[in-house]
Amino acid sequence: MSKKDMVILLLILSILFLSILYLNISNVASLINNHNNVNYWDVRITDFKRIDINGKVVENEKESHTILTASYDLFFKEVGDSITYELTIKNNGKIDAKLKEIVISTNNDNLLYELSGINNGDILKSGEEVKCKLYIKYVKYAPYVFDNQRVIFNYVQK
Amino acid sequence: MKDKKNILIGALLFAVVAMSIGYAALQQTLTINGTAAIATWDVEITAIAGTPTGTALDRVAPSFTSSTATFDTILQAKGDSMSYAITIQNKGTIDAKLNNITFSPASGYDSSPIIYDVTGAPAANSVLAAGATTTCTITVTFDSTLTDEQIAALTNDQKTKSLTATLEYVQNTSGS
Repeated sequence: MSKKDMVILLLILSILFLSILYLNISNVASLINNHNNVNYWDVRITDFKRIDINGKVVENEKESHTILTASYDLFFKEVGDSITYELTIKNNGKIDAKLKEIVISTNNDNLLYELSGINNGDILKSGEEVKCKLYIKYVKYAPYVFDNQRVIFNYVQK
Repeated sequence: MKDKKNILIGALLFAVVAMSIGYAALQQTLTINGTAAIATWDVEITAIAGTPTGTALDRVAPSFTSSTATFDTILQAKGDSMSYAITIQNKGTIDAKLNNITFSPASGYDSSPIIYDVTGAPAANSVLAAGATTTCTITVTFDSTLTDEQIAALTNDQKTKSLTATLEYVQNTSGS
């Protein structure tokens, strides 16, 4: 058998191996979906709530969430106003997940955003949940600011 | 034959790479979306001025704080009246909306010989833009049906009447 033949055989075996992995996922997913209604890969938001509020900050709308997105809408009146939210993320799937990165984006420095209780690289095992806090404080005076912020959690397979 | 094997190796290699990436691509993005506005909120009373008619006069000069206007009027004869113009200014940086305006008592016209007539009050849900002013005028007078003799016979209690006007301003969010 020539070297090329061996390479071809090795690649075919690799493809067979990967096919088995894919088959395994789909079979398990199918079985689970049919009998236990649990997805093989399922990392989701299960709760988002305000846990603290100080000063004169006003919630224009009550905080809300879906399984993928949490939302808030605030109005800060005086320097020192602050609010804290607690976010719960649960791994409802069968595969352990890893928090690949957290991205916080905002367009002004008048508000301070602090995320605690969660870090890049954290492992969220199957069936487990994690709670983290988002603290927002009006720290520098501005006559008028309108800002959209976003905190993104990217989970990947461990 | 060699070319065919090279092509086969290339195709198999591509398939392995693609499948590896696909299997490793299990991922989930969770997002917190937020909106935050910062503004100065300051809606306040900035002036009160009285204009007398007849022999009406102030027992005490009218006064005001940022949230309260106060006046104390003496009416002496039929036809006397005093009109107070109360100025309200939005000193903040965001528009305000008059959410509610109430008077206590609800009507300036009742069995009392003293009548309050409110004119020029901002309409409910009217918007007071940032930096803008508006005026609420309250006129106090004797019931026009009273005669001079009846007015002269009024007791001090009958000549005293309180009025409380409450204007509730909130942030104007319509159109935002």
